[in-house]
Amino acid sequence: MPTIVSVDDSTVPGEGSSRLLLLVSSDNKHIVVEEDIMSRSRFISKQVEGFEATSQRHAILLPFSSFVLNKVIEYCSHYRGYYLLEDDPDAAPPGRSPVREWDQEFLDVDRNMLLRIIKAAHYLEIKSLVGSCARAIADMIRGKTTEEMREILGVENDFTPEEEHSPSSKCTG
Amino acid sequence: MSTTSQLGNILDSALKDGIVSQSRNELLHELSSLHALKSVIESRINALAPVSRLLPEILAHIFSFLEEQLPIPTSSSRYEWDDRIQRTIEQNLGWIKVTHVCRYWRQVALAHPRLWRNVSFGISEQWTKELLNRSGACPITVDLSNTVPQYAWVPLLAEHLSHTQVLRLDKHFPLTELALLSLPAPVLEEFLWLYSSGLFYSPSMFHISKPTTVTLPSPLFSDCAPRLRSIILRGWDNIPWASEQFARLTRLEIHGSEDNPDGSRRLDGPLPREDIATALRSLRNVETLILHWSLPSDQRAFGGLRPIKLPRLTHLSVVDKCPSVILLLQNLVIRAVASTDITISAYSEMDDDDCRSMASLLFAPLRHPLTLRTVEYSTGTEDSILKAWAFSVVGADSADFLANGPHPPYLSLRCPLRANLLFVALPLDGVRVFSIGHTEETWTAQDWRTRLGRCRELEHVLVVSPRSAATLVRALSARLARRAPRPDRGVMFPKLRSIEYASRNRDPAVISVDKMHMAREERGLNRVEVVDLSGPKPWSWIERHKPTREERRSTS
Repeated sequence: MPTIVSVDDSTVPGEGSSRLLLLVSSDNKHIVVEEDIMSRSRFISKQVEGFEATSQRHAILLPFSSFVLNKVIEYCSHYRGYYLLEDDPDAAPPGRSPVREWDQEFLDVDRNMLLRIIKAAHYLEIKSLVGSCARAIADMIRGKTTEEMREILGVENDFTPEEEHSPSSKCTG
Repeated sequence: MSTTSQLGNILDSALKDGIVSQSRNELLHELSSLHALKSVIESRINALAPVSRLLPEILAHIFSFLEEQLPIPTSSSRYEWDDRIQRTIEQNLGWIKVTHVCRYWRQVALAHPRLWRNVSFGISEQWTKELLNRSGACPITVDLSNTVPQYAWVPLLAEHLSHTQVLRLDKHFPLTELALLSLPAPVLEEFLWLYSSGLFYSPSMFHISKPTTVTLPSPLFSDCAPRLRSIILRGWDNIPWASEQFARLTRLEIHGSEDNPDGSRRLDGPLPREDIATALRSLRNVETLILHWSLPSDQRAFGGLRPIKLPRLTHLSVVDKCPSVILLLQNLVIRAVASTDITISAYSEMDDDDCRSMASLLFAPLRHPLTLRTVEYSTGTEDSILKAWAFSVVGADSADFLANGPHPPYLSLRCPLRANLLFVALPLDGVRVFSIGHTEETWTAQDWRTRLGRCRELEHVLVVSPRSAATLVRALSARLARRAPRPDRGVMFPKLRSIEYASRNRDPAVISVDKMHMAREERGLNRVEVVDLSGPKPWSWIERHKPTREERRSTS
């Protein structure tokens, strides 16, 4: 279990007023990151607001590994300062995330890593990243047969014969 | 054998049958239990799979992309078509294949009504009812275009009109059921009704005459469709313009059809075109206005000299004959930054004087300094048309850029009759991308320099098989090759960075150009690119210079 540590209210040299956050991953790695970078995460933003209310800054414990956390930080760093409609809490829900070329390359990872990233993005409430991951997973299984989908995502056919051939099943397809 | 023994045999046999039947049932029951046990174990295995540990809302999000990309077939005809090309039934299921993968996926899909919002009426009544049931109270899309349901579906639609968000109908909608359109539609946002069929840009090729004159009910949706913002109608005779719905619209499309050669109107076009001119005045909120073959050709229809002001218009598209287009442009006041695309039919039938006066009027809205200018002119095999765009790019070479807002000024000429005239009339000063193909003109390099001389901003040129391509490329590339221009003459096209040339027959004159690169053979087309190479190719250049979403928003 990682220890909760206090963090100085220091700033990054040469970056003006950008403060530092300490993120602690599930494998107990401590990662220091600028607050600006992680401001895309509504979860982190809410945590920071909490710090401001109590005048105390703590490390933020996160339930995923440093490997996944570093990927998320890489994503947030790339889009630092960019406006993405999906991440705007005041904007109307945009529906589908647009295709972003950089995201496609960034998410060209193995299946399990992709699933970990989407879970982390969902936890951190980074909607743009959730959308891009969801699109990548959908692309992975699009046009495949059900058996191929099972193989790709490692699931078994757990329907009983009755469920597979019931009238309601026919209506699902 | 005695009667008693015969009876005994029968009883024995019956007893044996009973035992066999009972044994069989027991075995079936055992098998069923095994199936159930197998299913439970497989479910437990699935619970360990990483994808099964995704929250239902994340999985539903993934399904929503599939739902968008692989929609459920909307009609049984789709099945027939697919069968003909020997696709399996499974491939016809669209996105709902995911409900066949495992129990968890099925549960998630069934628990999210939004995934079922596209309701297909075309396959069977049972299927439609099941979809409506699954969509719950979620706003639904009903698309009945190109669909002929084989059951009494109108009552079903009437029952669910209260949560219909998008309604698309076509000529198969029974005119005896027009009362449907008098019902309130509180969440309806888009209404489309294409009464006739055919292609948008060649209406004369497709005509389906209606047996009677048809009038839409008034008021539409009992004037109780407060969210209705988009109406698209094709082939209607009478449109209830007085309905309050029209004043709230942000998008209106009216598609009529071309007049007969003798000037009389075809039956499947909106007959009282004069009403449209009057109705335009009430479209205070309209942002996108598309009028194809639906304009009057008489100034009286526009009600004198009072201009029509559409302060929120951002996109105007008009296809009609020249007099009607000119009338509209004369009477319309729109924002200078609005995008316009204007297509004039039978342009080649006009004489030179008409063309000159028309061109000055037609391109007047494009002369505003804030307006980016894009013009495409082409003469097809059947008819000649002149298309002018401002603030957008449309064309075979630029299909990728259709949906992405403003672009650099772009001039495209295809088979241009009277191209000479156009070069004089068009506001070419700001053109940065020039594309030309299939011209009959044979101009010298000097001719090209004279015609394009005003294009001081020209950066990229795309040449596709024009007769004068060699001279054009020579005119342009001579300037490219000159690294140190003569100080007394300067450079005609100081910003020119690339020329892209494609021809079926490799032209020696072009091959001799400096810095030419022989490129790949592509579908039998010898493709030669002449690029200064200090800069990128035009299309990738345009792609990179497209404004961001934020820039477009701030512009608008």
